[in-house]
Amino acid sequence: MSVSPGSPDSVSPEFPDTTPAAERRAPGVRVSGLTVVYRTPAGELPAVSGIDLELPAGTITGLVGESGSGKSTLALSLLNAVQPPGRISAGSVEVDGLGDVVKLGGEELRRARGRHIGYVFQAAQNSLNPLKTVGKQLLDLGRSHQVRDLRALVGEARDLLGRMGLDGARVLDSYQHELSGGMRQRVGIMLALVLNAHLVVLDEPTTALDMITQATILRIVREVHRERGLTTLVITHDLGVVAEAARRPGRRHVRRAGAGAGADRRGARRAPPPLHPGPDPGHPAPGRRPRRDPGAARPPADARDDPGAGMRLRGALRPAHGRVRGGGAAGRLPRRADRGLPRRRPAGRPGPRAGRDRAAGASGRGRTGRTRARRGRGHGGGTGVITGQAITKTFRQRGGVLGGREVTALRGVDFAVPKGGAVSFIGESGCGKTTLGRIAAGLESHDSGEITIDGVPMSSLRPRRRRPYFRRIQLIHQDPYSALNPTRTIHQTLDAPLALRARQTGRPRSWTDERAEELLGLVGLDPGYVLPRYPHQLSGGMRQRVVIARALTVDPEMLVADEAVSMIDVSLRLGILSLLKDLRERLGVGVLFITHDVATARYIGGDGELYVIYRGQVVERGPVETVISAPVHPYTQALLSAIPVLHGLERPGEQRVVPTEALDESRPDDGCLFARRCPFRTGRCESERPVLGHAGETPQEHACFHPERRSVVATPMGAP
Amino acid sequence: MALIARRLAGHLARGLVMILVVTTISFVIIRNVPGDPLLARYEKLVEQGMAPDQAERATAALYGFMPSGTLWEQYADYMTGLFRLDLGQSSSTPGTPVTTLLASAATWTVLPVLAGTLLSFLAGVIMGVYAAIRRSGPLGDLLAISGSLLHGLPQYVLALLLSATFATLLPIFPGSGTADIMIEPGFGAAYIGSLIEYATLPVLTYALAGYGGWILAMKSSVVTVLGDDFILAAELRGLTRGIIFRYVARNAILPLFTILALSLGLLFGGAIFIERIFTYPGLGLLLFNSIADRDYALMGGAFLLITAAIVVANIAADMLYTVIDPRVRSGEEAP
Amino acid sequence: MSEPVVAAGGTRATLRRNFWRGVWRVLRRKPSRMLGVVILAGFAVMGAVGPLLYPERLPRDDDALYAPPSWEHPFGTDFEGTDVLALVITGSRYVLLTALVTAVITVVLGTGVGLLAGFRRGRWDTVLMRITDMKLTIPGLPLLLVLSTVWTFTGAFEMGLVLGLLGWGGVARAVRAQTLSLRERGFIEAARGLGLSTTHIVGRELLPGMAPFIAMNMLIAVTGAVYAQVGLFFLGVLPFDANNWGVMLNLAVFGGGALTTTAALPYMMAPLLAIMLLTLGIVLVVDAMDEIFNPRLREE
Repeated sequence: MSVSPGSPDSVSPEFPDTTPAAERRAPGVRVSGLTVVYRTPAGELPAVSGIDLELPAGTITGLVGESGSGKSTLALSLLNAVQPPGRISAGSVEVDGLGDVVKLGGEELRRARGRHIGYVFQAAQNSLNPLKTVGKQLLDLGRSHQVRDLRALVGEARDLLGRMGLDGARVLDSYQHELSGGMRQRVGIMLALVLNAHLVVLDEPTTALDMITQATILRIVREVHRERGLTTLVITHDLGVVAEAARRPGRRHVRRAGAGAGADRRGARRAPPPLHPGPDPGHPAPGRRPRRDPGAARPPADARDDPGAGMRLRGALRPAHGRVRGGGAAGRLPRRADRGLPRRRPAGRPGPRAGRDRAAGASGRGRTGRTRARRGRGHGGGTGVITGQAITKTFRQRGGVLGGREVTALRGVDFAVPKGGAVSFIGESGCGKTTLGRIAAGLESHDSGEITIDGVPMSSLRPRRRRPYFRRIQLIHQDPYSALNPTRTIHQTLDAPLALRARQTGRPRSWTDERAEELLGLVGLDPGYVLPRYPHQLSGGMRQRVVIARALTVDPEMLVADEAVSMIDVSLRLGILSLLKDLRERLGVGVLFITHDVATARYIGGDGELYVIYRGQVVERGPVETVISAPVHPYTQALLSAIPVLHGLERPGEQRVVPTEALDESRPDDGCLFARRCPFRTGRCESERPVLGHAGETPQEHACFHPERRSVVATPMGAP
Repeated sequence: MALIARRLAGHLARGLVMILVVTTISFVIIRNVPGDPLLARYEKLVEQGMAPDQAERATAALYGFMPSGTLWEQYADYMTGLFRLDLGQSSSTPGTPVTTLLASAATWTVLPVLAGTLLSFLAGVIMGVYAAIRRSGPLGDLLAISGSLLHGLPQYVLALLLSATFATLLPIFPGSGTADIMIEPGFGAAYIGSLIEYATLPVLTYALAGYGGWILAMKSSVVTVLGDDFILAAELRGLTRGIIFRYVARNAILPLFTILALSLGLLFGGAIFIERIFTYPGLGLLLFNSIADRDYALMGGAFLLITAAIVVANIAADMLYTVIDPRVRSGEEAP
Repeated sequence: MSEPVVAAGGTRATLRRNFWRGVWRVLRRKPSRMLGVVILAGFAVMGAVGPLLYPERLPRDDDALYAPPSWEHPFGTDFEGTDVLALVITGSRYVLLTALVTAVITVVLGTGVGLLAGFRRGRWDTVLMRITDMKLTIPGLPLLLVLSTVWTFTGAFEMGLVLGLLGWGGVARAVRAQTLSLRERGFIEAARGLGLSTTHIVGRELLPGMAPFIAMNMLIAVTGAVYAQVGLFFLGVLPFDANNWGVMLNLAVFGGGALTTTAALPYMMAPLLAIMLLTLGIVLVVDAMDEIFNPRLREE
């Protein structure tokens, strides 16, 4: 809990209020012995049990936990809004000025929500009525809380939105679907604050937003917190988010959202997932992720889950570092796994030295990285597993002949992955990196350009003949939940490609079972346990391991890992990443790593090349460490500075780039694709498109006319 | 606006193709019916002593095209007649243009169908909300199961049951016709009262037949909306129950409006059973009688009108959606 | 490491056993589902065995025309003095046989077209779906009536064929939608990437996931076919070849005047009750369908 000194100086009772002004200051909150149970056919299962939590007045507190740890349930409990079949069975939530929220009911409770306690939903969720404009919903809010001067309320809302960098009047006239994710989230914050609530709960406020928008939202949270003197609770699975929201030097510790009876690790992991029928705010992608149901054969699945796999891995292959330690306040900090940064220092004691350590470590690795990259970079023209030249792709959205919209995904991309090498594509969602990966794996056609595999240009072959080449490149999907057929057991899933393989290579049919076991062992799973099971009986991490094993059935030369860990619980990510890394080393399988996260790219392919993609164009390309330590393109700089940084890891006095968010990009533009968001644009940038090259004698290639402008000044945003 | 125009154009084009297909089916049937009704008619007239050219004209007036000429000429004739809204003459009611018969029958179909559908829509929507709120209780189960059953039963079963119960066993309502024949048609209270009395059972059948579908659709729609994040968000902002209810209701009912428009179109065709059982002289009965009497011109006309109703309903449904849903309005997503 | 081999080898048989155990569990969860299965099984037996219990020509009792229900004639007799129950039972074969033929045609054609359109996409999809849309928009019952003027499809197979050919549109549309959404799922892509054959992908990966869906549509097609054929015979636009429920209804209502006198009411009610019972059975079984085919729901 990062305790920043409260400064409740901006209390401005603009609206007539029944509560005495004195009580409308940032309240302190004391949660004690809170227990929430969910009613299931198997009896009542606790989702939160006996939690004590204190939010001192005027502080920002972070609450970190994985999906299913009960953190969203806890957040809802603060508003006494646990959804059936859950209920608060014990404990109290004392909020200054309100009393015990758990005991509130009816009108009293309704008024407390919105007026005293503001709640901001996850960005991926639609917290707005799709059929009403934001302004109309604001008026509904005012009427519900008997605000007499609705005009003043609208004025305040406009003002708040303005301070968050939006055109207030326009936003109030918009429907939810007309707003981008970042804008919606700011509307959510506005609605939570407009009635002068001084206790604000933010549930995963930045999940599903891209890195740059996330940075902006977090800064807004920080500033609003300080300006208005709030008590703020940020709930997230991402420690970086908390650190960023509460960015301010000082003492801190983070509450762990554990559940179940015990506080030990196993107990927490087994915490029953929320069961209410509505989508669980804690899940990053509700609906796409089937919830684990209690009563299924889970305990063994969990017991054999990735930690165990990690242990086997340690025995069989190499030490899997980054195992999360149990116990203690910082026990479940999923930080290293989360950021993919292997670190030597215990997470609980970061000091100023840690920063230096990191910097030193980074440059150290950088050196070796560069040499290795140079070795691997002799791809030139087709010696690599796969090269792509001037690949373009345009999608036509549905609408048929009459009304199709065209979206350009790739604008002439060159790439090459050397044998056994690692190449990382990094960029925001929608930048075309996934399309590129799919084209590389032969799952998508491209419009123009040439793909060459093992020296054979694909355009010279008929589609049927291309298949054996593309089979050497296997895609690991982002979502291990949909990548496995729910109606087939793991045995069936692995058997089909192996049988094909056996036929092709003239091996006996009995070989397939042996090979299936061998592969599962290779990815750190127990074949006896996994083979007869259906995908839903396995955890996310195990499923992703199965997916990898399936890809290995055809002995690929390269794996395309498309955000391969983004849908897996934070603490299991490192296991998957180190598996990929390990496969590279042991089997010599190349990896094309597609991610939005610099840290994971660095972990997997630190010795390879990094491609930064923006709107279908590669804007910077070079050895990973070079690009990370000295980015040239303003977009790369923005991307890198948007990474949440943990306290104590910052270099003192560092100015961080805060770029503007994505704009409406449907307008055609001839110049630099980044020009409209770029703080350094000149006339040339708007009329001419830069091409990738070493302009300005930079060690890496980039597509910018002004490589000399390195120091970046923060754009003031959100300041009044 | 451009979007709406484009969608409308698409629908009109598709509707036109539909109508072409249907009229072609009618034409092919008329030409392929065993015994060639055209020739038979012509020969009969000549036999009765009519001059051949006169007989030919009389026959042409009946079917909209000359029995002489090639098949293509006949087809072209039939189609041009169609565009002049000339559907030929009825043979079972000699001398009456098909359009006149269709117009009078359409009134008897439109009014009860409209009344019955709106009635079932209202009742179904209200009970659907109730079934959604009480979905975990026995009452909700009961509403849902009864909805499934009513939805599952064909219209004629409902019509027969209602007729047997309220016209035969307990003769409360008249079971056939449109009004008491002893009462002079007009705008008098007696006649209108009699109209309503006679229409009660058909309307009730329409209503019951539709009710099951509406209750199921509304229930699932409400359940979906209740699970939406924005409803929880509204609750957490402390909005009043009234406002939240309006949020739920508006969002839940939206998809049903489209189904409403579509079902109005479909009922024109489905009215055959109900009109036959209650001897109600609407389009369905007209189609049935024309088939029983082998009155092909009338049959083609009725079939065409029933199809046209569906085409129009499709267009109306889509336009309605475009107007009431801001998401579709701005071209964001198709319904 | 040898132990798992046994486990893996024996999985197939175990799986099959588990499936039926799961079905049993799903049915047991709600007694109403059992009732549905019992009703449907009863009808199947009735259609298969029922007609064998009666002589080719049903006995007539000339002294008892339109007899009221009694122990001897639970639903009374018809205008010729034939037992109504016997008519319902012997007539069920025609009704159920037609329904079966319709269902098979509907499902095969609908699934085929839907799979082809959804899996091939592109031009195939556009053309097939335009045709499907057209079929769906042309009102079915009026079309059937119009067709009856040129084609007397009174035999059970002919009737089933006509209804099936007219009825596959809905299934095609639904299967296509399912295919389109499933083909975007990672496992289909993975199968393509691994070089597995199209036969494998469609037969092993796609279809099993759609089985509940197809089964549900098949049941709905059965209901639709029963209603349509009974309705056609009830209206009397087709000549009466064989005894079936629709013919009974027609004779009872338009011949016997069941709607004007009470004498023929039992004669009319018997086929109506049969239809309602069949509907109930199908509604109840459809309710269980989703859980039966979902391995996740089946297990709990």
